[in-house]
Amino acid sequence: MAGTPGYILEIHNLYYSYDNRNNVLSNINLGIKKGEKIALLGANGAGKSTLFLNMNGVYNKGNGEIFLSGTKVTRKNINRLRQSVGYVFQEPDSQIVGTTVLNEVSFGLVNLGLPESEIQKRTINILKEMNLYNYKDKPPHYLSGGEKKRVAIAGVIAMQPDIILFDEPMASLDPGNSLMFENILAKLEDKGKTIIISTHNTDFAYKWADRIIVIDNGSILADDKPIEIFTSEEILKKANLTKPMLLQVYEIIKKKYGKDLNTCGNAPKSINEFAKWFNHL
Amino acid sequence: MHIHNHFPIDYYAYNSAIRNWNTSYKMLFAFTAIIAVISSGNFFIPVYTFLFMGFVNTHIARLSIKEYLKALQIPFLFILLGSIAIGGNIILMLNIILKAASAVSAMYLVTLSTPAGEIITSLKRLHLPGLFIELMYLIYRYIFILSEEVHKMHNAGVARLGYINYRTSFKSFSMMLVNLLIVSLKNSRNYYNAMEARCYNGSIGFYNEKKKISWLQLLLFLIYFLFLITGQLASTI
Amino acid sequence: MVKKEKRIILATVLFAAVLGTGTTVSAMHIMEGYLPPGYCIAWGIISIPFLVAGFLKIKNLLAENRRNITLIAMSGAFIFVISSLKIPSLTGSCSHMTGTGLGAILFGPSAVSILGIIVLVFQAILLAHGGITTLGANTFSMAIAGPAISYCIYKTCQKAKASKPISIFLAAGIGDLSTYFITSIQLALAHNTPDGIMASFLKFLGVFAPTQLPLAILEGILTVLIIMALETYGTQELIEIGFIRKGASK
Repeated sequence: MAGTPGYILEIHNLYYSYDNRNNVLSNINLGIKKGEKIALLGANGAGKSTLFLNMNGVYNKGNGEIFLSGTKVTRKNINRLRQSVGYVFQEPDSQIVGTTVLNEVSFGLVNLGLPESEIQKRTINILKEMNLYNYKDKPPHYLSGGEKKRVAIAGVIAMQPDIILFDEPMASLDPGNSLMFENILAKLEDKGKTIIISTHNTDFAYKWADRIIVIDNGSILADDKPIEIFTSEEILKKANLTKPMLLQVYEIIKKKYGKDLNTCGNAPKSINEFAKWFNHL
Repeated sequence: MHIHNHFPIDYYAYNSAIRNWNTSYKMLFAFTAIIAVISSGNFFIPVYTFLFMGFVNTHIARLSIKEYLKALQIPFLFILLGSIAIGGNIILMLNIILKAASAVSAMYLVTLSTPAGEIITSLKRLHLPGLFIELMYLIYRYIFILSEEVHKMHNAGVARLGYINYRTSFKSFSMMLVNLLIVSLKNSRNYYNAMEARCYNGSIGFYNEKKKISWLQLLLFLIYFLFLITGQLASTI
Repeated sequence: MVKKEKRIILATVLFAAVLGTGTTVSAMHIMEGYLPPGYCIAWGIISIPFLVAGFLKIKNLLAENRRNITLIAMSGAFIFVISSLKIPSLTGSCSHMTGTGLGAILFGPSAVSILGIIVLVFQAILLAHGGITTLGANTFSMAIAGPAISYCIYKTCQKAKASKPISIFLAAGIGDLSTYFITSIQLALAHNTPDGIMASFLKFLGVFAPTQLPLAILEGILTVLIIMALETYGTQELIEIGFIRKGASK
């Protein structure tokens, strides 16, 4: 089987098991296009992180095929997958190896075997872009949680991946840092990066994503537009997801005032859209 | 900002005024000074080195005298007990005390001004096996992750009255270490994944900015040895 | 003379006890500057073959599975961290575990030699315990001989069908004591008085006894508590980890 044109990353019939008995992932089929904003939802232990590790090539002993821009990924070109698909881990501490912010960001670039001048250029640029330049000589252990997260993201972006995977990025961030993270996301979207975020936060997924993949017990339960996912009681129940607050409010209002409200447009995705919609009533 | 000052020496090193001096230079300087001290047969070299290094550490590296004295206290008990065991000849005892204090002050030229990560990078130049250097980088990083974890666990233990008396505190202490070991070994799998996710291929390498050796640094080195040699010659004549 | 010496030692012990309440007692590290160059080199050379053996052992573990590297490094960091923690104590004085026996029982004596020397380097850099010129001597006593003796005692006790807590207690406690003996020998060799090496050795043993004897007992008890709890609560983890089981069963 060859890759389908138009997809930046394609996964065919992927099965993965840690112990050769129980499949953690079974029959995963996915096609991802450039510039998509995808939220990956699912309970703890559903296989989200395992899927990410397969998408990025750290786990490569499963059955199935992965195509990167139409080229099949094999043992030999696995590093291309690891470079093209960046993975920002949930805990920055599990990702940071460097002894200073500067050399941490350079780690991946050194692994890619780039010439020193290129490494220097990219590292410095990323540090400036992420507002980390003033921290460059600081060791990771004297950084705050939000700063560590930024360093971890910088270390991944420096490798110039096309797709970036974020594993529960906002799990341990305070509101200020969550905002900082959303700004980083916006910047990455502007650059045309494809972004996949695994999260439990359905409010965020509903607001941000243009596609949602629900994974349950190692297989894909649903893969659709956010509105389709969050209005399907069956999917929500099966995957144990809470309906986004805004959507709930929207539905309550809609129920009370009747069906004619449909003329006022689609369900609002953000608080601004909601205000607009509400004022139109 | 959270600064958990688990290891004051590490913290001093990151804030030293001479942190940006070339690491290999500092290491070579300190090492040759230590060799001079331990090979010396008189009082001059240890006393001179102790004063010289004390000056550099407090006035050039800008460590406060209070912090420096505190750091010098660390080996104090060992030096004291050891020299008393040597006993007998008071001059011999004094000589050994001075030598040790002086060598420690020279070692502090490096350790109080150079973060361990940079020391490891310099050791890499000595062509130690790559695996050894790699383990050092990882262990250094993990030491701080674990210490942070201990800090959290200890606070949680205190909150649950785990340290209310001697018996319970002993038990809480050992349980904490057990949890620490189990959790951290589990996490270490993930740490490997994270390295591999960034194309780690079995050798850890970083890009670091070069630190040039300045004339001032060279001059300091020269001054130290010039006076050392002159003083030594003068004391032997 | 003997009486006088005894008095000196007694005074020191009291002094140390008083001092010990405020200062950190560096376990049994020979300080920087304490050994003449010849001894520094000699102990370094003696340590090399053991370190090479440990290095090859770790290389083999990695050849089996490259992923073991973070596991091994984490074990090293763990030994460092437990050696940097204050043991809760009755007197208020600070003592620290050495981790020698624990490391030897969990990871095996050869891997511990490499982890041990790295831990010693960090103890010198971060804690100012020990030093660089004395690294060879400290490595021999704390990372090679101590763990090896611990391990042998543990295995012997097991063969003799001693109960597990007793085996662990003896292994860790005697491991500490032997480190203290060896360090005293090292110091006596380097700094012997006209009375001879033996007399010096006894004097070193004497002055360090007040800090080292209680430590050996504390370390023994703690190591028992830790390993027994590991076996009770961490069975699944130990199996998952594999490396530890291998180290402990071989």
